[in-house]
Amino acid sequence: MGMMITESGSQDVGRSPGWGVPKALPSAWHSKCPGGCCFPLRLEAPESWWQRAHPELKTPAHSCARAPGTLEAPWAEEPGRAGCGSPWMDPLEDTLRRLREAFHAGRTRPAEFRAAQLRGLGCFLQENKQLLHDALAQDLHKSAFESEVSEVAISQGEVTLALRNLRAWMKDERVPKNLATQLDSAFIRKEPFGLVLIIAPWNYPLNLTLVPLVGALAAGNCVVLKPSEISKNVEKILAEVLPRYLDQSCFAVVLGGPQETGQLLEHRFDYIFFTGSPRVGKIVMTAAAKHLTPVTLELGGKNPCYVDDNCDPQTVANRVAWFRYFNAGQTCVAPDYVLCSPEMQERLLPALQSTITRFYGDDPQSSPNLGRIINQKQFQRLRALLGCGRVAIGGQSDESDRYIAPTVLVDVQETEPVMQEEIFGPILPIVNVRSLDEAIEFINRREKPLALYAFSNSSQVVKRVLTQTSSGGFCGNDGFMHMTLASLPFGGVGASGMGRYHGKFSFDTFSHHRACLLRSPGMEKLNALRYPPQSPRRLRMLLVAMEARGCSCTLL
Amino acid sequence: MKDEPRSTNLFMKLDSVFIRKEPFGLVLIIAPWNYPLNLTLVPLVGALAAGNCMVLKPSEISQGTEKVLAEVLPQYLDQSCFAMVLGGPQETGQLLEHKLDYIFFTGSPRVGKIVMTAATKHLTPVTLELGGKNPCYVDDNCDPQTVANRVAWFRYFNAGQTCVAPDYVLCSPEMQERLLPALQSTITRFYGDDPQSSPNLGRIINQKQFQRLRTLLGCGRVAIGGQSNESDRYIAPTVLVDVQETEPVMQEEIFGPILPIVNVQSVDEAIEFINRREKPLALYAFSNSSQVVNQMLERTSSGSFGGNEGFTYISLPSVPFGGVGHSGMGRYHGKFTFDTFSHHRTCLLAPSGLEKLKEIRYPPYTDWNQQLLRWGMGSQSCSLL
Repeated sequence: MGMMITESGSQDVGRSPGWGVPKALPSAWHSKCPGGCCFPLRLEAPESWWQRAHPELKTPAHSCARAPGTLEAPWAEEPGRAGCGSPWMDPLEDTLRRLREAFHAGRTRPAEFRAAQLRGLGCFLQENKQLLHDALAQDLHKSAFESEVSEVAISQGEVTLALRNLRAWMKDERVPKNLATQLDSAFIRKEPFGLVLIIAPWNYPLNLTLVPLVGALAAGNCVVLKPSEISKNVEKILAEVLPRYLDQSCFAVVLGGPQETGQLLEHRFDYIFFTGSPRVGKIVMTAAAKHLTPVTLELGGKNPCYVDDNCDPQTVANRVAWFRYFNAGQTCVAPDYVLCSPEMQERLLPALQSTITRFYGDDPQSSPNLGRIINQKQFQRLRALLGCGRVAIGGQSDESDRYIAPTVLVDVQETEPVMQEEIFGPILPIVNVRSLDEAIEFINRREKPLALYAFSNSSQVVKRVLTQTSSGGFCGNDGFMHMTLASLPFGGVGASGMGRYHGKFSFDTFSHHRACLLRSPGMEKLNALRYPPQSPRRLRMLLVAMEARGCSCTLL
Repeated sequence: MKDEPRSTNLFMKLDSVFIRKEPFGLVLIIAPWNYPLNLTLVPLVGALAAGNCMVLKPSEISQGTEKVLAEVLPQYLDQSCFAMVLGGPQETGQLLEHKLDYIFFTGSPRVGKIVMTAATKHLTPVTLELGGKNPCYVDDNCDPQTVANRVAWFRYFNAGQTCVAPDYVLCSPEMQERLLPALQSTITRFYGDDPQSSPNLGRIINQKQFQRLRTLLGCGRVAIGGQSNESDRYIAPTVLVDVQETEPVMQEEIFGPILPIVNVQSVDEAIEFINRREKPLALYAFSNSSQVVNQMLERTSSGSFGGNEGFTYISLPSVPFGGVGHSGMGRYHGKFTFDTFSHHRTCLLAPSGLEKLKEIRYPPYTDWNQQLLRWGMGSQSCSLL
């Protein structure tokens, strides 16, 4: 099975069901068959180790079975027929091969090359800022503020940080030695994995594509990027504009939907970085297991937000509302539901209403600061959730605008859909609990979330929630601002994900840390201690040499 | 265990920002038979230190140690937080159907895939310490006796049943001529004229492995050793030459006291040979020239690397031990084990008041908001991590 691709604009006549919808691709992908037909050509590639590992990916040499110049869709033919456009053709493999060759030739290793790539990314952001803002507005109705703060600035910040620290991050790390290795050179070398695949989601289509990309490039990998087809406008820019700023022998963008992504995942990569839902995370990990490919999965979940009786309702309302309704709630780390006592709920509701009016005006639909739902499918899903519990605030929706009002639901049962799936929209259910203990127990009965929030004037209460639960990240008395700090690792635990990134953590995620020990070729007499025949005395000496620290600092 | 404070930006100066290490919960360690104590206990140390509850599945193949681990070890641990599960592949398969919070596996790549696939069902993170064929490049520019000592010691230690042992040698035909007598001399020095009677040479773990290794003795041509004794599961320290890449001894991880030598004409050819194959767990290069050693290091990839030396780095808890590609994912030893079995949770504790300071981020937005927020976010005091 391969990706089906056509020349931009051609018709897909007679396409058999099951093949994905082809997309227009940058012209670099196409090579013309000597026979003159326009379909992508599969070239015989020199044997490389990954091809030997997968002989099933070898194809017959191209033979054009039809007259030059004909443009009929080849898949109208019976399957299995070799020739132009046969089912065995896989232009994607061409691209992957090309990237691997560039990697093996060492193109991406020098710091200068990596820095040039990073600078390219920085230029991409700066020179196309308006274009990106417009695309984000078209996809998600993001305000200039949100686009700048949560997409462009964050990406730019990561590029700047990586450029500033690249050489320091790349440096071999010397390590403490024991007596037996005193004369040796012992260090950890950071090496790129090779060919990295980044699969990005639609909710922060720039940020969640570029920030991992920064790490992968800084670490010296070749990268295949699969942006989300759902955020169409940003996808277009990433496919058509971004490659111009990067070395295309080491970077490629692959387009398509779930089917194409599935086909992509059948190929072997050296690392896969995925951001998306737990359901698809499992599919990615299963595909990765076939090749023993390591993965980072940034998934999601229902992020609880505990609100203690001892707090200022207006402050809490401001903070919770801002993080909930940012990007119209389509944020993996947004507070998903509130846990509080009925008394607190009574105080919180008017405060939330006041906050919402303050943020978005009396008619939120006309506010430039409120986003929209990405597409009809998500809109319909969210509209159905409005039927859960009872609407206390908001509840309006407009299908033509994919608009859902900032909403708060009360009297919600745990079994209702709004408490069963990650909401990912501007709806905030409130679930009542009688006590902190009950809240903690409620949280611990469920999957570990990506983020967890606790609001209280009492630092003891906040600390109790922190200590007695687990989550990817935690914030006391605020929302996900910690994500803006590149000094903090960002990642999930349990069903909310595995692995982490941001800042140096991205670099480390995309690097293999290779333990190295270099010994002198001489001074063989010193080694005599370990060779057989053994004696108890020698053993004792050897054990001492292994244990003793040459360096007084054992604190790593 | 301590929380790690982290640097902040201007907007978070009043916040407490740190990374907290938390146990995952229920951890499964599946251990192999070749170093049945080490490869069971060293991960166990990390998992316990990180605060997890443990399920241990020792190898049923190393029966003697398995018995001790099953019957004696639990007496030393709190059995409400620790359990042993015994059995073979079937029982292990059943064990893997359950939900665990972390799985640590040491074994072959084939079984590693099975473990990772099972872990997928519950999105369980894994560390896989696998194996491969560890190349050992021997340059023309070296002292054959020194090299023979070092290579032989690491190859025949534990009768070759070591995941990081040099698996095969790459050298020129000329070097091979000098290496063979040196290897013979080393083997005699280490194990005497009759290695089978030396107390310093191990045996093959079981019949199945023994038969597999005995078959490999038929590859190429035996230059040194080659004897075997079925009743004793003994295989002599052996060196094979005239070996083809397509023969079984160059296709599977040897895991026995057999050392094939493959000829290459140059460093470049050696590097190309190595890079055509799966990334190994360990890679060795012997040369008097540090440039040659560095070339091997720079132009290849492997879990770990030894220049003019074998796997001594294993004794250093300050270096991470793990594979890459088919030789594994994740790493441990020392603090790396603790970190492997911990979830690093990002924590931010903000003051509940001082709301005025947060106002800047709330809508309705103005250009001024945006600029100030951007500036504040970008101002990290210490960007060097």
